[in-house]
Amino acid sequence: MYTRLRGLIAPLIFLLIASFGMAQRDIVVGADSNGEHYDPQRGLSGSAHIMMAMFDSLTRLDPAGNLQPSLAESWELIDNHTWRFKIREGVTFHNGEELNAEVVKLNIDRLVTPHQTRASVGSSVTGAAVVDAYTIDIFTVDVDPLLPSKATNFLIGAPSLVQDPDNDSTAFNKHPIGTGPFKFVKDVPGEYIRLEPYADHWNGAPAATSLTFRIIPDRSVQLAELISGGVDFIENVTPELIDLVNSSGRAHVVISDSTISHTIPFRLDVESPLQDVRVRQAINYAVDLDSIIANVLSGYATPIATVVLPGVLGYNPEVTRYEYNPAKARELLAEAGYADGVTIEFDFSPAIGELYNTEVIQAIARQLSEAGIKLNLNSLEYGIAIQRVYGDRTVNPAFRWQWKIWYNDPDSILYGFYSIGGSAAFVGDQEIQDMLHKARYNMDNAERAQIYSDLQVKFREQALQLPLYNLKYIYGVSDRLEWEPRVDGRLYFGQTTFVD
Amino acid sequence: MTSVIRRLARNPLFLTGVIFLLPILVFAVGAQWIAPHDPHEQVLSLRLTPPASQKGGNPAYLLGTDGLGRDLLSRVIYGARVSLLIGLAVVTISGLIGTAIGVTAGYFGGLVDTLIMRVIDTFLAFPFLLLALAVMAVLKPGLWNLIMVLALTGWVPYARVARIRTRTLRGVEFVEAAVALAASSARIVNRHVLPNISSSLVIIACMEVGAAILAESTLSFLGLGIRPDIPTWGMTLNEGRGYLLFAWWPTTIPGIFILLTVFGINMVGDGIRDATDPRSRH
Amino acid sequence: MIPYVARRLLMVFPTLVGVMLIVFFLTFTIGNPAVLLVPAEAEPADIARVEAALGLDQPIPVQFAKYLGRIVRLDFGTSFYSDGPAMQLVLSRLPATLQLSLAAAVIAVMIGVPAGLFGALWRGRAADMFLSASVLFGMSIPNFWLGLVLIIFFGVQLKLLPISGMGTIKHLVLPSITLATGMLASIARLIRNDLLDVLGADFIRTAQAKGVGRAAVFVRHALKNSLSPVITLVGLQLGALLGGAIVTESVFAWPGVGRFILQSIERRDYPVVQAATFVLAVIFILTNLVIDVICARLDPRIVYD
Repeated sequence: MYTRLRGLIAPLIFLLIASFGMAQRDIVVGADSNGEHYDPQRGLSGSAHIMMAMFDSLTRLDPAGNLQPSLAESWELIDNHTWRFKIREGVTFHNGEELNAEVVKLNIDRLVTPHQTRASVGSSVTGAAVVDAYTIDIFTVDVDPLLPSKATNFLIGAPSLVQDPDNDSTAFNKHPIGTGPFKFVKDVPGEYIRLEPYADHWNGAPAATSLTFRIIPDRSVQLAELISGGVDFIENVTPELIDLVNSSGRAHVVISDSTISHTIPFRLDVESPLQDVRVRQAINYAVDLDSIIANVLSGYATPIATVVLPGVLGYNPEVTRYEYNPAKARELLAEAGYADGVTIEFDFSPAIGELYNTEVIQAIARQLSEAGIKLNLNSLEYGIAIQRVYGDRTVNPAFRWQWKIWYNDPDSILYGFYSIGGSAAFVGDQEIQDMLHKARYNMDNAERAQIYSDLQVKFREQALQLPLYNLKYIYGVSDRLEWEPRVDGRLYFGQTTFVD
Repeated sequence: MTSVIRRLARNPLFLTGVIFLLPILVFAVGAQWIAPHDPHEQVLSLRLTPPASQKGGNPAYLLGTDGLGRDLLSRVIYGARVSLLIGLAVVTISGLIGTAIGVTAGYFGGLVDTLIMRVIDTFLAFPFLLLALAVMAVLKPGLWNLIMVLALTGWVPYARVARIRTRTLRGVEFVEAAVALAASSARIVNRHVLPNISSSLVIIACMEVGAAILAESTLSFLGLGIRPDIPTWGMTLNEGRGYLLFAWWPTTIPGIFILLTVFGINMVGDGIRDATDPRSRH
Repeated sequence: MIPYVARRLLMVFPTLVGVMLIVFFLTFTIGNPAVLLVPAEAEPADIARVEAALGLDQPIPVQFAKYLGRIVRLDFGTSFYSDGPAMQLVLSRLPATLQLSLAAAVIAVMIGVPAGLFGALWRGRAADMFLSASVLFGMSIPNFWLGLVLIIFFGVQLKLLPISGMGTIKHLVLPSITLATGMLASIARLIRNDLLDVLGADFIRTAQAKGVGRAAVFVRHALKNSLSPVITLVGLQLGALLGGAIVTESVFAWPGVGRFILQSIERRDYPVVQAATFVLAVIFILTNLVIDVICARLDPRIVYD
């Protein structure tokens, strides 16, 4: 019996060593989840890193966030509804198929096919036409200055997978095929996905001999694996554990700014004390955010004055946070008729807001209570929170939210929070709406920047939100790797090299 | 009855259990007089201060502070209130429901039994979380709804054990004799069935108190708990979870109090069991 | 016995139908999956489009009729997320769960039964106190705490065992111990209690009066008679474990059903939730049936009408 057992176990152990073993140039990433979907038109943020390894897009952002050519070598605006892209020649997919304008068109067709769930959302694309073998026109509803930036998310799949725009994405999911630096090897749902380098990548093959994303849901366990050498990379290190990682002799942390704005938006469209601008300003005066960041977040966050972050188009450095002034807050409250205090219903989810979110909310609530503002904290499960904001819009007048800024442009976040009909917008101000609209369909970047800059002044005056901070990304990276963080927070291992 | 009390007073298990539970009960009742600090008071600069006995500890915070610089001892003292309420309410409600259902099924057998057992199967088959989510989505998250959710899913073990024990008893001579004497069902259940199955049920109930207190922690982890600023052991335990690798106390200390409560309640349970054992009466 | 089992098996169908009906309506109370499927920028028109693609825009009675039609043919549809067949996705996670929960159950029984037995034998003595205390200790430790502490000690410091993941027998050690603690405690406590109950019973006293040895009384009479509640409880807990040990699976990155159900509920992947509920229901019902049969075998006093 024992020998029979051993006969069974030995190959198992061998397999395990073979798959997770640390041959010199393997990269194992400890990931929260893998999104479990690798169709570019369907995949979720959880699989974004993985898809980025397997697929290239028409354009790409360099680590600093600047727009660069990728599968498209160049692009130009032909008329107000048309962008023309010149496709790179000689690019092949992992299965040997070749890239050309026709293949790009098939992918764009799929993007605009209604039942692909993530298809064309916010992309303004209406279709595409082949001009010649390596030139393609992409049509938009109106002039779209951001289309080349949005094209960083147009991941191109192999022709055999995209031929039929109506097909479901089962085939895609079983074996995704792109032109990216890594090709698909194996996906074990719930455990790992394994990729190998694609030797014929147009931008040169990556240095790694394999790239595995292992699912480790618990972040403390991710860290334990990192400092024991079980994985080479983790996405989130708690500030308090930075020293532990750096002194482990195996790994170090890499810190960079995130492009996620954390904030507390207010609803003006429902009856509540928050309809009074003085109450909103009082809230802004009553929170000592610096103390919260310094203590609760160990300083690993930057306070923000509006959701537009530094470095983003139209960022207005003149717009500052309301200073911490509880006396002023009380004064404003009294003026608004709430000398005896005011109660505000507040929604949040432990799953939204990242690092120490529940603690930060309680610290804010405590500070507000000292100024006479009682925040009634309602804890919501993630799906219910999303539902209340994006779905039936029944969220309470104040809620904790976050939004990622894409390609250093504020269009998406400002539409999301301030437009009429924006998914997390409950402001309903026609003037703001007109300004946003004017900036969205505008090819003059200087003019756009000016509009966004003016808007931020307005947001501050009106105190439409309690802006919080953007957190630092703290990555844990094996000492064997030389890895560069990206402004957009995506994990990219195509250019990662090894320390020898 | 008086003899039971006399026996309890002499039972070492019961007394030890009471010694464990007494301070916790005192905490629950007199939290506002006992707690050294306001459990809501945050001193952010003293965040995660270790217990006073540890290096870096502060004598003002005997058991250290949590992630917001709140006094852990005070939070645990106040937490006793809500957590004991959760544990006891859940166990009482689910125990009563489960026992009633289980005894009914076991005593009458036949169609009644079959129907009840299928309902139990149906109940068990649902993912607990789906049920919790549905209840919390329809109602509002809050203390009593949380207790309801836990009770709604917690009655099954009582029902199953009560049923199987009752069935066993049905075949025993003295119950058969009572049935033959045409005693009423209620009388048989009260006189012969309940006293004989109660010890197993008390044992389960005592174990479930801890489980209910811990379940609150899981629910708050998912955002289905009660308000985060209300101190409960489960909430404190859950909040400390992220610190475990570098600060053991915020999650371990509420854990220790849960442990003490579980110890105490189970010992008291054992003591009651001994004292009420129908066979040790002669 | 055989007609009884046959009757019970027949009853499986109405129970399953009941479960599947309730699940359908429960899913409607917890929200619209389309909202969670689209990116944050999605406008109401985008959400409506996805709803239409998933058939969620139809009136509930129509959706219900379609659902019934599918369930009857055991077709659970495809996952909203991965497009894979929902049932197949659930079943692919089952082996991992079986492995973990059976290992945990074996540990729990192997330690829990003797612990309970000796507790009863040595009632009130120091050994009993120690056993009771350890058992209660194991029971009150939250799984995430125990799991992490075991990982840090055996995985990070001693490097004796793997930290997380599934594969070898070694990978199974820490998660199954973590999962076993709660179950072990209930088994030990219930056994001890029931043995004490039975020991007071007349037939045991008779046996003892006849001069049968203490140990022999235990094994021949007492243990046998106290097993049915224990088996009932073990069965219940095993069923619960098979339904997934969400916390333990998450801590040890174990690719089991529990985590998958949690994930599917969180993102409202209803086909998967429905398929998983179906699988769980079948498992529970069969486990319970097996328990009842075993109990009847062990204890002839149980009356079957």
